[in-house]
Amino acid sequence: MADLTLSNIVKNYGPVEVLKNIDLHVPDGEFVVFVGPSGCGKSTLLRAIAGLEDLSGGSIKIGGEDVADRAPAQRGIAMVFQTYALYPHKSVFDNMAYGLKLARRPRDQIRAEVMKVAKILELEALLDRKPAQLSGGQRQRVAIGRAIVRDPKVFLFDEPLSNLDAALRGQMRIEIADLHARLKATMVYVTHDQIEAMTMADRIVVLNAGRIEQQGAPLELYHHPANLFVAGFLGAPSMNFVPARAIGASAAGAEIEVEGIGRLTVPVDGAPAAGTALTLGLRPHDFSLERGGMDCEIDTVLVEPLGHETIVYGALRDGGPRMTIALEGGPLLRTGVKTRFRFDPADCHLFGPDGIAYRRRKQHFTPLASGASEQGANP
Amino acid sequence: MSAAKPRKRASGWSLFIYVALAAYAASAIFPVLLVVYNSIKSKKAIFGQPLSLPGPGTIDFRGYETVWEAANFPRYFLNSGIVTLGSLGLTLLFGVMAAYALTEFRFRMSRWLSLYITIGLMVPIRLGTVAILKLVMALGLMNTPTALILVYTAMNLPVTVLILSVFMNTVSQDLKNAARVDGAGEYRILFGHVIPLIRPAIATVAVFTMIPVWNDLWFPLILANSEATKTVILGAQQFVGQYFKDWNAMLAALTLSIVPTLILYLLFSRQLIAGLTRGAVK
Repeated sequence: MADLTLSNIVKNYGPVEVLKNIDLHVPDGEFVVFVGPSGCGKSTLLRAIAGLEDLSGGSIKIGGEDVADRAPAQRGIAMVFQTYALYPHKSVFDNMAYGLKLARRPRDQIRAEVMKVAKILELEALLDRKPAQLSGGQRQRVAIGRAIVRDPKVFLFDEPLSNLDAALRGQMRIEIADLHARLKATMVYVTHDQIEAMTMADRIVVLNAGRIEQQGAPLELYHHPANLFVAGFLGAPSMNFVPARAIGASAAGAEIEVEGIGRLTVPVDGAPAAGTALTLGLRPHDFSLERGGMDCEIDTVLVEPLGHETIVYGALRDGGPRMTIALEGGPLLRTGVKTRFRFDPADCHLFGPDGIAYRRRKQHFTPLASGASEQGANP
Repeated sequence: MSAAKPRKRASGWSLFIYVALAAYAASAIFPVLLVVYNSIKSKKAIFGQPLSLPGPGTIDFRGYETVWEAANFPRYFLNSGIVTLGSLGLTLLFGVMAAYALTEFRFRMSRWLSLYITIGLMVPIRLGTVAILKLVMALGLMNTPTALILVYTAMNLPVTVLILSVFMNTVSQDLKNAARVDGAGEYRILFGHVIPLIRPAIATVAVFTMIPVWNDLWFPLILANSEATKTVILGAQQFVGQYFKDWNAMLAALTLSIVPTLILYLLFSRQLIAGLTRGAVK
């Protein structure tokens, strides 16, 4: 077990900068998720940590040792790939034992290690099979087993669940989270799926265009996104953005005017100067039909009743910004009708002209006392 | 009804395809068959009725007897075998390694190196015969199988590298990376993980490089025409002189020369078909 430190990582493909001065520290035992749109550099960063990608600059330390010049096998990492990458002509046992065999470990030790891991992952019955005879979930479990057998300091996961169907993905998500709790290992996990990021991570690192946009606990990022990109990227359906204009500031927050909604005061720190062009952010789930001090009228275009919630698509006033609204339960709404939805200004996000968020005052969660969280994790 | 209609049209189309393929196959096989069955006919019958099948009156194995007695044919077969297998082995070894390096690693000039190898496809090697002859003489390799093996290896490398590169690109990058993380070196990744996955491609290349080498007349004639180093195809030429032509022996020798390639083809054919149809099916 070890911590991981990336300093000033740069990667160029010719003139194209893929990673731009990435600095990151992952403490021992933490589960970090890299998330971002495709092409943001998250997989490149992971492969750079693994040593599968040459760096143009910067250093990588695992457990305090600089590993940037070492071969992948000498870095104390293990990797799980999106396509499982099992050796097709080897049995499950040989797949898991391969790394130890190449390291010339004694036979009986290899056998003992593989059997131990096979037991943890319930693969004992499958050890003689070839990868082609396994289901997708079993293959991914073998790939994870192959990683555990190497007893790495850091686990690297490269979108390990995106080749699985939805039901299996949910199940494997729980298995990986459970594995992390049991192994207490440092894990770096790359995904484009924000549900995986939100549910599994101790810390989320949001990447965009080769830069870290923001990092922090999942709910911290959800409730206090640092900028427009993070705000729009996390949360499904994604946040609604409406142009707004600053009018003034008071002790209560920033006073703004929004076309189609009217004047409101958003409780944020560091209010903008009057006249500044702003962006108001409203999460679809912060709307309701009854509660809230403000309201706005939406031309509904499409209503999706999902049972536990109802998603409404529409536009704020005629030809105005598109809005998505998620309501609890299944209220009876019709399409093509103007409907009033309510919201609370304290739930709003406010972004400056540079896209940087003003710090919201509302506290959305209170951390549990440490004793209580132990109990909650282990009922 | 509506479902049956496109199916009917498809079967008409496939009938046409089968007829066209059958016609092509017949036109390709016909000369070979002509050689084979004329080799067991008497000389008179070869000239009198070249197209008719051997019958009780015309059957004659004199050609095979001449080949057996007159010439050094076992020696020629051995020479052909050494040259073919030697150049096949070297072509595959270097072709596999070059294709892996060109597809797997990005290094300075790698694009130019690929291009350089591709140019080898466009220029027939026979244009360089004089230079090759000079080189072989300078190296003191005249009348050795080594000379032929080196020339054929050079001749076959461009197409081999090209075909193998295409197939190597289909091997999952994750798989190679997984082996690297497990501690496998590049040679082990190539020979232990990549080659087993592209066996069909290797069989395809093997057949495509082997047959022209076995059948070649040009380079043995120029570089290795001594009695000790003659190949089968060159050996068969001794029956065709300026004033004397022993067609029986000639046809018998050619028929015999088909046999080894046929055997090797049958050995490789399953992999070969897999290799050729891979792109079409996937």
